[in-house]
Amino acid sequence: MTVAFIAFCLSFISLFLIYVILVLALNLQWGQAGILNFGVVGFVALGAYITAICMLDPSTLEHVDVGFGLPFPVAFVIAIIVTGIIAWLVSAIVRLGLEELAIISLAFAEFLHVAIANEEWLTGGTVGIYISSLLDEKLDLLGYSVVFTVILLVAALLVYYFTTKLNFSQFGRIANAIRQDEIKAKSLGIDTVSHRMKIFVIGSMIMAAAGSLYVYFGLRAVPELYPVGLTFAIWIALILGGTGNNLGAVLGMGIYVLMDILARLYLTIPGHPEIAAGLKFVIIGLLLVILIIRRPEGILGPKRSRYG
Amino acid sequence: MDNKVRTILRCENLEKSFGATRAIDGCSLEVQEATITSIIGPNGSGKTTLFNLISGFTCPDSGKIYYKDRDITGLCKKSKSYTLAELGIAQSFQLARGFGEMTILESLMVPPSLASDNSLTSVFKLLLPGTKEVSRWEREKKAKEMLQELGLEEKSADKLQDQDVGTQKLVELGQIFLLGPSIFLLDEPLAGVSRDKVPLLLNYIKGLREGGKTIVMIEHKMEPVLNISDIIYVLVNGKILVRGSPKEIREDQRVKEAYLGVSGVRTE
Repeated sequence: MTVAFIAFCLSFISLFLIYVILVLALNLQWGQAGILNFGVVGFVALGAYITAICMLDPSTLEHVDVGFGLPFPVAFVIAIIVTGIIAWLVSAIVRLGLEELAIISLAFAEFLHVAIANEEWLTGGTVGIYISSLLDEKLDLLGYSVVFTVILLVAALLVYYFTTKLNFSQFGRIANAIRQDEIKAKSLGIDTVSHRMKIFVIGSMIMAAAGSLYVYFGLRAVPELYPVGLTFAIWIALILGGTGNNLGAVLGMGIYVLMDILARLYLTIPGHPEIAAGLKFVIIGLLLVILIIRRPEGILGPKRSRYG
Repeated sequence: MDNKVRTILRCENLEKSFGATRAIDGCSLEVQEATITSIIGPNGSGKTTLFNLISGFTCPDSGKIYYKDRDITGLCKKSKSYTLAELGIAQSFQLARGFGEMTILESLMVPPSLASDNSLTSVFKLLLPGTKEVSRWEREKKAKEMLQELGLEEKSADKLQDQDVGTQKLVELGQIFLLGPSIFLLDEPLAGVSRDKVPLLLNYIKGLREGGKTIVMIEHKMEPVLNISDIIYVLVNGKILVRGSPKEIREDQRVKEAYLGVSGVRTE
């Protein structure tokens, strides 16, 4: 096996791990608390671009006017905090009526996508922002891939640990209660609106963390890395694996990524490459339809608390 | 009534209409602390609507509600109604509502909602390895005690949604008992509950009164109502027809006509 091939495999694993973080965050929001977030990619992009702008060395500015040259850990923390504040504003606009939030989050992600592609002075427009890191300069391709896969693995495990613990705590139990019957939860003295807002913000901050790592791993932030379709890939993986089950979410993501790779490698129609690309979504769609008819709770059923 | 007894809840001229229907038509009532007040009346007389006004789930068109001399009428807005439960007024529902996907034990671990469990700092503390939720053991212990009290121990690991109406009702009452408000608004607490559990519940409710809690309840089973209530209000067509002690209610000719009717005492 060549070095390039191993590096290629590791890059897929890295991407998978980033998606795992996203699907766990969505499971916290939708699976545990019933919050419809159709703007997953928006919060990822937000975390990514804030990181990129914070890290961009001001002495090497070309087409972008803003850069702070901060080290990654600082940029990472700033990205998470700023995204948290923005997520809070997004949810506060509508006081988190569920249907309203679904639309607002989708619109927010779309707005961000357009803004990123057009505000060249800040985001580099369609060209994007390219950054360099100390690690990149010191390590060769393989070393770089290995280090990053390990970092992402640790991050994904940490998010898994945190979201599971959160779901199983009293905080998560109340989120679960609100999801099932909001009026009843209110009658027990629970401030349902503020509780949901907290979960929305925490989930969005985790998504920003994934976006931030994605930038550090790819050393670039360009609009095409954050298509609206990413949001739905995360949703599909969650529904596939089992809404309300962290293990199921990871499993669903694994299946989704595996299918994606297999489709790229083997799903070819000679002379019609454009049909093959579309066929992938037809197969995923078909699988989802069958699953929802036969097993609506996903491959693994819900596991929202330690009590069953 | 003893002069030292404090009025804990006071409603003045409450009115509520749904379209052309006047569900509550100028109701005034006073509830004394540490008493059991029952509201009876024929179906559709507005009892549940009256409860929803007091618990803040519906806003009155006019009139005032005072809790410990504080005007709480304005707390009925959609996003604020939970504050009433925080203040100490909690309601159980006529048709039991609950968190069906939870087990019975876990359902009873939801209340009370403590600020310390809901703060963001408590969430981020979970990130630290080895942090144990101290309150979980406490909650589990209390929930188990309540299960024992209600005679539901053997069902503790069963999902609430798979239970019969009576069990769901018991769990709902268990939740409100654990919440421990000052005023319990119980909407037909005995409806659907199996016969052998009724004395148990009545004893529990009497125990609450002895512990200084106030109970306002809607109930159709006349015998228990007449036995345990201190004051009974009879509601007919959204108006208070009579207020009196069980003895007075039993003998009141208007009540017999309006509510008990020709069919006699309803014992379900």
